[in-house]
Amino acid sequence: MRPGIADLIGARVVSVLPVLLGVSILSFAIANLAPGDPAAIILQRQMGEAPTAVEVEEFRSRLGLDDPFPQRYGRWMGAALQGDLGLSYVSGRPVFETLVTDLPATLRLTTAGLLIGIAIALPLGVLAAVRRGSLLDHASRLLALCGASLPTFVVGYALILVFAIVLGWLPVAGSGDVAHFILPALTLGLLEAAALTRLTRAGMLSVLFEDYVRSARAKGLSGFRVVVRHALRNALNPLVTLAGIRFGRLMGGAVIIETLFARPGLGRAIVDAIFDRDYPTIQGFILFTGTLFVVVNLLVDISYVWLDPRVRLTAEQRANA
Amino acid sequence: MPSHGVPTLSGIVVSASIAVFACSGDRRAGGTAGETQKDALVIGVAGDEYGLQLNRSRVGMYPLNASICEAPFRLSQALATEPSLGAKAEHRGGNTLRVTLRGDVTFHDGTPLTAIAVKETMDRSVRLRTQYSFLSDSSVRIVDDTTIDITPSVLNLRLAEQLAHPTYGVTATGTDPTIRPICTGPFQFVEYVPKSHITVERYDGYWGQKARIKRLTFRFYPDDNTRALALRAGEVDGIYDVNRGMVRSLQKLPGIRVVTSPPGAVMLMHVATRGAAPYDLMSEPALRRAVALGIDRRLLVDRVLGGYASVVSTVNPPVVLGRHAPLVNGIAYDADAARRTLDSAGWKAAADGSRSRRGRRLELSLISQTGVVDRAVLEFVQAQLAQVGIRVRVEQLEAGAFESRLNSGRFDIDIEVPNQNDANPAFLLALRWYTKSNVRSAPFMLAGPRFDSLVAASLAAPERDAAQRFAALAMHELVDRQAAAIPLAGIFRIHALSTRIRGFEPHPARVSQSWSEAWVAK
Repeated sequence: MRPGIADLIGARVVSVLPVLLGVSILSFAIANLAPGDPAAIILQRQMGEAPTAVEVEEFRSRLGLDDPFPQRYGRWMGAALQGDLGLSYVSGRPVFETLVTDLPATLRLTTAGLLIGIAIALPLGVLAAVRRGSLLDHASRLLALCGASLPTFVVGYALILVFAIVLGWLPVAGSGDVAHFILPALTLGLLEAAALTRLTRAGMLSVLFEDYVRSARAKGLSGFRVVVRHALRNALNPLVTLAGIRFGRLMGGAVIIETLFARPGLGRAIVDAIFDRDYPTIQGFILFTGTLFVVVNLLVDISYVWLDPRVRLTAEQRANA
Repeated sequence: MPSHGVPTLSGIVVSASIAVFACSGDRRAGGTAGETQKDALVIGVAGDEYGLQLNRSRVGMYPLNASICEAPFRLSQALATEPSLGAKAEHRGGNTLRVTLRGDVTFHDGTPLTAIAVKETMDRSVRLRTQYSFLSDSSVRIVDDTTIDITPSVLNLRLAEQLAHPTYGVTATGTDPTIRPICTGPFQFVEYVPKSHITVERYDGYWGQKARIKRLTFRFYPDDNTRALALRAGEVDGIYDVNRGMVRSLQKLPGIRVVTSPPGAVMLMHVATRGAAPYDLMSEPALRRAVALGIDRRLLVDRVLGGYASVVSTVNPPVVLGRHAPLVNGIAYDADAARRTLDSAGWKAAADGSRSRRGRRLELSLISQTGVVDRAVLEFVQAQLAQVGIRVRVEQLEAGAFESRLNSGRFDIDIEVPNQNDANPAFLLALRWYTKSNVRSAPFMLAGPRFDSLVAASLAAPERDAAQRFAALAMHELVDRQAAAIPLAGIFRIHALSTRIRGFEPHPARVSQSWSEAWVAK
């Protein structure tokens, strides 16, 4: 690796450490400062009857909830650094195990959603920009508007109604085979496509009238080559940035999608954990996904070194100075 | 828990869509006499609640009862006990209950039911704290192969009625119900996939009437609307516990019928009779009476609850009090009397309709848990009380915040819908308003020494009739005299089923629903 670039990557990595510390404090605080006594709630659900004061006190003591906040945070963070996120108050399973078990289902869903979104957004955004003002352009903007304004569950219900009820092609919900996967992935993908289409279109419009594009046309290159090889490549940078940011939104969308389509995954696990006041699981989830989000964006940052020569050149110039 | 909420935005979207598509034809056909039956029945239910740590030992039993396990006794449609694994129960003097088991029962693995299995089950429930009958690890004594003596650690002569709760479902000796529950019920366990489904199969060696259907699957759909859509698509044959807001649209669907159970729960206003300032207003008997007088329960049932409820005077389903239920009269709606009561108590009405006394404004804090009580009910109560000059601040709180407020006494009124899941007529009385209750919210709701003595008498009555009478008298004190609890409506459970489903009899208690009579016509 060239000098300068290693420094740049190292600086980026170091810069995320305080962010991760902030994520850990926030995740612990959010879960612990919410109103409600987890001991009482968990006992109530497990016993089916309101617990007695003595039972609640014993349970609180067993869970270590009587200790001061900083002490509990220190204990939790110390263990988390060793990969131990504690045991779920509700299921009794290690939180890390729950995350690892449920993560693949959610990642499959979010990845499929992202890919579907990109598959729709790229051609649509490019064509909308190239044929600005056309019917297709208006349609793409309408899609973007709908995607931005419609809640996830409305899109999900609409797709169920069309594909499962009217056409009968796909199952309503569940987690059996590939057929069960299509509607949830499509729901996420369509919403993703809305945002990405708008950005692709805007990105393309901003470069289509640049000098280098005009030069490419003047050289006699075909329209397709000009658009794909010259314009689109440069329009992609903001798209990559957005894809990183959208990852967090996709994870959030998965929470709704998994509940709506009765699919297992991290989303449903966290919804259950929130209602159960299952602190270790909530904390673990926020820390885990927060870290994942930070890492994904770190990778996006680092990818600019290869995607954008200006970043690379600046880094090298600094190293040589 | 299923929500019985008013239509949400998502609910409206789906309900409207269901209504539109209701006209698009029906893939189901109604059955006729002499029809053949399908092998499998699939029921859509709400979220999977077996994942709880202590509930692992109750997969298929509680809270969703898949009819694989049986408790010593069974809860009848009339919320009384019926013999089940226990052929007979008799008090042996003092605090001991003797249960004689049936001799012809085998577990799903073919081994016979013995007293040892019952003791193991009871001991496990003590160890895991999933029982509420004051049992200790030395409570159960084996007399012989088919007889056990049970002695709770405190006086509890309602034990036989509590033993109808599915939490006491007996599992085979030496087996681990967290891995595979081996019980005695009409169905045997096949498969449980967390958050997806649980499947059971008919047990042909069952001691009683064999199940009609060969295979029964419960699929978990946490979202109410998705569950309804799964029914519409024919993925499930029925959905258990329908959101009240969706009933109308489901009723329009061809091939679907909506059925209801008798009330198994009462929607109830708990009032803070012993609250500390600023939550001390309801410690005033006149104010409690004015609140009770100011709410038109008939209107609530007909308009807000869509007729899927009944007007009741009792805090438990009236049937649990037997012939003594009429002892509880309830406080009839009379808005003028409510106003007069407030006037007499010195709460002066201002021009804007609000009331105050010695500079203190009459405003009550009403709390409720999200998803348990319809927002429309809370707003109805608010509007009704506003008409007599009582301002109500409504707060719908999610579980944690709600429990926190309730257990710290930071409320004037709390509306809940407690379920009657066993046959004990004094269960709710002893839990909520009794001085000896250990429940954390109880000290804020106490109903006085006379009420306490009647509850104690009910708990200590060997005969059910006497227990029901004392419970009814305690309820009369609570509701009619003290106005310390205000029953709003007896709540029906609502289910939507394919018209092909036969033999399904909705049970008032969800946890005691039997599936062995149900079947599906081809």
